[in-house]
Amino acid sequence: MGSNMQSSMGPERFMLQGRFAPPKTFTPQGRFTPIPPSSFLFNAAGCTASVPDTAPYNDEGIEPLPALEAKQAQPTYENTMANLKRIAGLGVDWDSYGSAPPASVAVETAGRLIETVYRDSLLSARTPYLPFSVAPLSGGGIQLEWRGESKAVEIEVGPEGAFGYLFIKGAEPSSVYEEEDGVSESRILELVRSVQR
Amino acid sequence: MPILPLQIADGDFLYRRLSADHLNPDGSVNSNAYKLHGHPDPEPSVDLAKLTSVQAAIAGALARGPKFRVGLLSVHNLRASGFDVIHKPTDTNPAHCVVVGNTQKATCRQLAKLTDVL
Repeated sequence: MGSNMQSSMGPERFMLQGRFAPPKTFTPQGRFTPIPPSSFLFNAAGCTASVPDTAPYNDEGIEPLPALEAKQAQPTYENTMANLKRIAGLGVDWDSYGSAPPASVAVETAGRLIETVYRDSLLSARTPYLPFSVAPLSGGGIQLEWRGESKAVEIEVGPEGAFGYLFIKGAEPSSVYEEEDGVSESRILELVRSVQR
Repeated sequence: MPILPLQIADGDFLYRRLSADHLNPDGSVNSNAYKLHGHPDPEPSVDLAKLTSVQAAIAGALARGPKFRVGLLSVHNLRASGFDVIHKPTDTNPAHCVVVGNTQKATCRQLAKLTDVL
């Protein structure tokens, strides 16, 4: 992480306002177990803080997070494309790790892919099929993910429009993965359709 | 005075700064959080929780923008999944560590699944 971890912001900003729900982690056995709060809320110097269980640091003056907004929104073609348009407007260092802004070729290629899959799904199954997520990719690309009942596929669109993918078969964490770069658009469409079926 | 690297214990926890665009619509972490310049980040930076505090981690994230968040990783869970962690303190950040073993798109996804958002 970056070097500016210190801040003048007072600890009162993060004081407990309600119940505390410890986050869950995966065990090697695949079971969820809660992390003891004391293990990460206390540092070596004995400083403490508490984290509320909902909308963590969304205090007054800070607008709701996109993830929380999206949770309540219906995934429609319109809001999917609106999100892509928003991503297209991100600037340099949108991720704070030095990324280039999304390249226009990547945005246009991702938009065309979303539209093709959506249109085909309406024509064939009459069920709209939209990506679970649309996200910028470090370096100027766009990443899309389509999910089905037992499969998912992550599609990477590079800044120059090149395709890569990660195909996930079976329930995580015991999934089988397949990945490749430099594949054709027709192969990408084939993979996405296989996830939908 | 230079800071000597520590051994990372299984019981340690790590913080990872996340952009709002590293989160999925359901609030989980997207694998793009562990990619750098279009490829798996071979050494994603994290902070060792015991050398900082949750307030400092959150304040550091918010200093980047109001929508930034902090992800929490367990060293035990990382090692159980084939990753490891190396303490690489810098002059400005004694808690700085890197995760090693992130070499594929699949490992980016595994790291994302191992990250809880605070």
